[in-house]
Amino acid sequence: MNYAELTDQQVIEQARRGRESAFRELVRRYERPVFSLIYRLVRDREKAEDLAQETFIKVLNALDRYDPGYKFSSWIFKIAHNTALDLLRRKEPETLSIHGSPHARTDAEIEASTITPESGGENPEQYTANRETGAIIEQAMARIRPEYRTAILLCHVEGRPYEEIAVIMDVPLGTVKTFIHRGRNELKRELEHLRG
Amino acid sequence: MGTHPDTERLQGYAETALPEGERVVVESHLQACARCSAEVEEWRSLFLALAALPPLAPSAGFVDRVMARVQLPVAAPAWAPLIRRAGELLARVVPQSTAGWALAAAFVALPLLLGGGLLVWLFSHEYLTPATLWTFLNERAASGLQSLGGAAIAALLQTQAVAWLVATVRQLIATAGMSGIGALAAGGALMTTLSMWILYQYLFRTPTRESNHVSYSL
Repeated sequence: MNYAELTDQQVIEQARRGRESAFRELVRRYERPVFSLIYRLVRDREKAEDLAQETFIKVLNALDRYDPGYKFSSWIFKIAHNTALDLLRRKEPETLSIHGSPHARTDAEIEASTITPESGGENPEQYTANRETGAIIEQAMARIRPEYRTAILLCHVEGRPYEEIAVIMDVPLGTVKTFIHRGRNELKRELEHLRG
Repeated sequence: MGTHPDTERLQGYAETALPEGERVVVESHLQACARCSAEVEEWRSLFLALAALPPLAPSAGFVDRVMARVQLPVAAPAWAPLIRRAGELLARVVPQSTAGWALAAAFVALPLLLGGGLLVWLFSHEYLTPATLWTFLNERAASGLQSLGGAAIAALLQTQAVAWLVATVRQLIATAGMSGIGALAAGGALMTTLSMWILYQYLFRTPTRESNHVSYSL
């Protein structure tokens, strides 16, 4: 079956009938956005992989209870966000770092727990420039409050509308607007600080 | 030049999210204010840089690792909806309380008691024995069936299997007498009660189950 032409709802229908290929398709569709969101929240590759796996297992095992009245992407992002938030709440606040896992002690451990973005088809100079800009932004993002970071990531990186962000974060629409507005201001301040 | 629009409005303008009326007001201000224009440009650059952040990929084999831990649902057979519908219909008629079960048991027991009482009353007459009653009923039934079902039922009654069955039952009644019939009735009543109890215990009483799935609501 060619899943590329099917909507999320149609793939879910196939998955509910027990088709393993449909489950795989759902994971393939969302592995990058879900992993990106989680990684940018927890800043640790190993933990992000575990949490992303946990998210998909929760989602796929509860697929028969998924309400098609809601967007599938909202549902999966909501579970991903809550799963990452659980870890952040347990974690000591000062350990958040852009430079890989806070538990990494050696250069090899730091390297292994950090992610290098793939080239998007730019020439080497553009790739290096974009990577530098991206690294500074990621660094600034790591310094703002987690709820602001989630709202900014969902809005600007994932391109989700405010209404969907409110559903994902389980907060009123007005709160989302406040998070985004304050998050942008904090991000701008951090960028100015990092650029000296 | 008037007062400067607040940061929220400038951000809204930069991401083209302002309502038409507000957009026009901010735009006319920007034409005359270099400071606010520069701020809008800064926001635009930031939004573009954020949108250009690349999606990050988990390590190779992620899908396989997830699939190894997912419980795939068993595909339901085509006749499953019929079974479910039959179950729903049955659930409507099955008593839900002890009083209901007592009433249902009474409905089953009543004909047994009435039938048993009638038999006892009939056999209390000297001229009536189980053998004569069976002969009478058999003849009446045969003539009734012949008139109702015609040749097909008559032919069925003539088959060897039916003839053997009739002869066996007739012999049993003739040799066992009243005590045999009583034992048969008591056995039947016991079997009925036992069946109902088993049915109630194992089929209709909903056991307490713990779901191993986490429930999520939006």
